[in-house]
Amino acid sequence: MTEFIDFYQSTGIANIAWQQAVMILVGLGFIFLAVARNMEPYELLPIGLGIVAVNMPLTGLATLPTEAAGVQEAGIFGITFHYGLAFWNILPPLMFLGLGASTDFGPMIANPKTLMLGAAAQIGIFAAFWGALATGRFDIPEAAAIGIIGGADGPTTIFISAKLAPDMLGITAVIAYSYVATVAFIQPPLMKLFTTKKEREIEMKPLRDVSRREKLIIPLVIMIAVILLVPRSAPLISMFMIGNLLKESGVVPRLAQAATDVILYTATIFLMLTIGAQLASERVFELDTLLILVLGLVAFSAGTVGGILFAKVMNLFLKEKINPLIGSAGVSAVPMAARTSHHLGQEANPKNFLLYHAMGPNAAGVIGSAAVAGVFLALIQSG
Amino acid sequence: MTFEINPAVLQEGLGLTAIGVSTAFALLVVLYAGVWAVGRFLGPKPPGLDESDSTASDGRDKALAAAVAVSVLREIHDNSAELPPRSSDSQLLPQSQPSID
Repeated sequence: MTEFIDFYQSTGIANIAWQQAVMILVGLGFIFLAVARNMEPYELLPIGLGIVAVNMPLTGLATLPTEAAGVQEAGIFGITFHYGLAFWNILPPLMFLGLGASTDFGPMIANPKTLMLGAAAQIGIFAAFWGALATGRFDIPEAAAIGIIGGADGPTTIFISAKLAPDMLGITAVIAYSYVATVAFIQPPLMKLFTTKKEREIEMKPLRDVSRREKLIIPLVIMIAVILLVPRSAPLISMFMIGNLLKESGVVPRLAQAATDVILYTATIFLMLTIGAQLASERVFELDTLLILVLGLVAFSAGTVGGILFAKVMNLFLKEKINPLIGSAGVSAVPMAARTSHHLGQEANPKNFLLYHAMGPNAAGVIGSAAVAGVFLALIQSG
Repeated sequence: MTFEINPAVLQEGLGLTAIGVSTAFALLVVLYAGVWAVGRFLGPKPPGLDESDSTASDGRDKALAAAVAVSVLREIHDNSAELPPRSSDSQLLPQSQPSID
């Protein structure tokens, strides 16, 4: 009987806390959304699985590697977190390699004015940054990690959080991806609120053709300019442009294929599982988590509005008006934000075809948020 | 929860914001100029401007040929009473019909 009691007390059933049970339900909810609703399945499914696995009691899956006593008892997710994010931080740049290889800079090259919209949408980062500081509960590095959610760029959020606020990594990453997944619900009310029907009806001319030479030279120009100005953004920007050049060169189709398939998806599996595994119950049931959720929404909304308002300001000076709906795509969230701009444009004027136009600010948003991330890293870490 | 910011944090935050916003805008202005310049010099020329472009040249020849053909056809149509039968047609005409040739 004693053995039976000992055995029972060693099981997860006897050791599970209510917070862990709630988190397992949250994980199952993510899995449901991914499988049944097809909502960001590549992110939410592995994150959900990671949440379920790590919140099982007594597993030690997220135990970090330690040098103590020469005994290594690290858990698999502790190892992937340590080497993939906290110590080497290699997974976000690998994802950027794949994302670069699947990005088309054509729309941005054909209409470079849209680059400015990508800058304007970064306002959201600073809105949330100040919101976080104003609560008095976060220091500068944590506020920066929260603010970068406004860049609506998952890998950049993870990259910054892992460097500046590793304890908050799971929360900021999940919130960033959750808002990216719900762009189609968050942005449209704001887009309608800050534009008139007449503005939404503005038709944009088809973009000019882009030559192969341009597609080869522009990524190099961007890489050199960004890294010269913000060297700390190099891991993200260089991998993004390398991936893009693998594709645009046309001479290494297998490498481009590997970047967009094998590397991107392998990195996604480990990154998302690791993020899910950071959502252990003891970290989630805190007031700070709720605050980050609200501040993330503030960041996302401010970025959306910033892009739209800047497009309206640009229209005061432009002969050929741009549809302000494409301004909201400056928050990154590739390609969902561009799709949202397109759908609202078509709703206002069925002749409107904004998807290609909105891809310009979308790509510029990725560059803009990586640049701001580089500034944060340079000033906060070295400060 | 307080909504007061420590003066040192405020100062650092202001510095970060000023540098972050200005860097993002300055960078994208530089990139705008760079992309525009590359497009200006290396972008595809509008059809008809690049003499060395064989595709554009072929296009012009075809357009010219089409214009000539349309003019000839219209002229023939306007003078249809004097329409000369094609040589192949003339062979199909009944022998009783006088040949114009």
